[in-house]
Amino acid sequence: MIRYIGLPIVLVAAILDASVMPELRIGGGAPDLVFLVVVSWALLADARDAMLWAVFGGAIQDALSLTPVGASALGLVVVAFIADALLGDVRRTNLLFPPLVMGAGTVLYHLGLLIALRLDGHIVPLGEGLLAVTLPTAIYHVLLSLLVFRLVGLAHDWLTPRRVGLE
Amino acid sequence: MRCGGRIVSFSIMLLAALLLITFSISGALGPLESVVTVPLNLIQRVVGSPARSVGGLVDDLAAYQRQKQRIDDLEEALAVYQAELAQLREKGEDYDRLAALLDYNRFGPEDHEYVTCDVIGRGATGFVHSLQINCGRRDGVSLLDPVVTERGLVGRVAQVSATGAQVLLLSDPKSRVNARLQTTRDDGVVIGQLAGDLIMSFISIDAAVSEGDLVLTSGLGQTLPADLVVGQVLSASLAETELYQEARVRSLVDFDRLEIVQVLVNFEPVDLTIFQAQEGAGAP
Repeated sequence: MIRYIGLPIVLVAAILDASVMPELRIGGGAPDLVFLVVVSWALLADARDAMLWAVFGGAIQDALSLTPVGASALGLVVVAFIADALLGDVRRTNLLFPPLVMGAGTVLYHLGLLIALRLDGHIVPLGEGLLAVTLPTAIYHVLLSLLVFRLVGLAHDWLTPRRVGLE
Repeated sequence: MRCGGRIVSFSIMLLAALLLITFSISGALGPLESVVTVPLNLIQRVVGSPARSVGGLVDDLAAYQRQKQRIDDLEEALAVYQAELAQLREKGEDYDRLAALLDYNRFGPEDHEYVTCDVIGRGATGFVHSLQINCGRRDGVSLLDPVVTERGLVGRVAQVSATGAQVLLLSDPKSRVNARLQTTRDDGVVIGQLAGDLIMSFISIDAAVSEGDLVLTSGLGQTLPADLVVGQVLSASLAETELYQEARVRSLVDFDRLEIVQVLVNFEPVDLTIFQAQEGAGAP
């Protein structure tokens, strides 16, 4: 059930990414809410949900831009899987892993995007792209990581109440 | 077991992403994308305007921004006058040329028919410079239509649905525009850069390129109408190969602050693919 509750959330995040977030652009970088939500969920809960959200949110995000549909999903799925495989479940109060994963994950995510763009004939110089777009985006993601991680953590706690037993 | 489930999930999702990319690049997803973007454009339109209002409010709160705004206003006025001046110069030169021709027939500014559209979104990734507008096929917009403002060329329509369209900006690295220096009439190609600058490349090595020269579309290749303002030369230098010159060009359009644009809907690019087909077939 939780798996499907997340879909409208990433839909809203994708629409905000295409309308509100570009207003915050520094250099070529702006926060990517779909990325932040998907990676936070992968760290907090079941990575399988996060990967489904990644494909759905990424596809919507791409439909709202000129990137080939699936390009964002590719990087998001890989980042969600690796984050989960390396760290497993991370507690909501953890202050170290979310910024680290969001920062490093942004680089991996953008590399996936660049590969997909290249396949589409949209050649972006790698060095310039990483410096002008990935670096400011990664900084944004590191700064926002704890806030989004906490919010997603609250949503996770609310959606999955702990089982209690009577002794 | 749980780990195995995740690997299976990962493989399925990765495959789904790769299939989506393949279908998207091949164009098979085009009709589906057109349908999906109609409701999304509607939501974007609703979400976009408060976002821009909030952005404006934040600007006003910062005191130093007021001075910057004043400078921006002056620059805007200057840019408008420069664009007008460029058009007047072009008209003057056209007049001279017309006087020498009897059967002169071209697609001039007086023939242009525009549709005015709101900008409802921007590309989410900084790697692709694009805009979304709230005009689509229903408004007469079609693929490759030029998009302009009073300051000059913005880009071209790259995707179109019934109610909206995606515009590839002039500043996108994939954008190529045949252009001409207004004063010397030398041709070149304006190429977008990731940082948002424009580079006019392939300018003849003998051309005298000066700072401040206006760059206009040349109309060569008939992919865009001639004489649309592209920008202004900032500096020029020899290309690395030393076979031609390159000029840094500043667009008079502020791509990050666009709210309203116009789509030129009655320009019909000349279809040159027939000649390419003939070349491919080895025709003389």
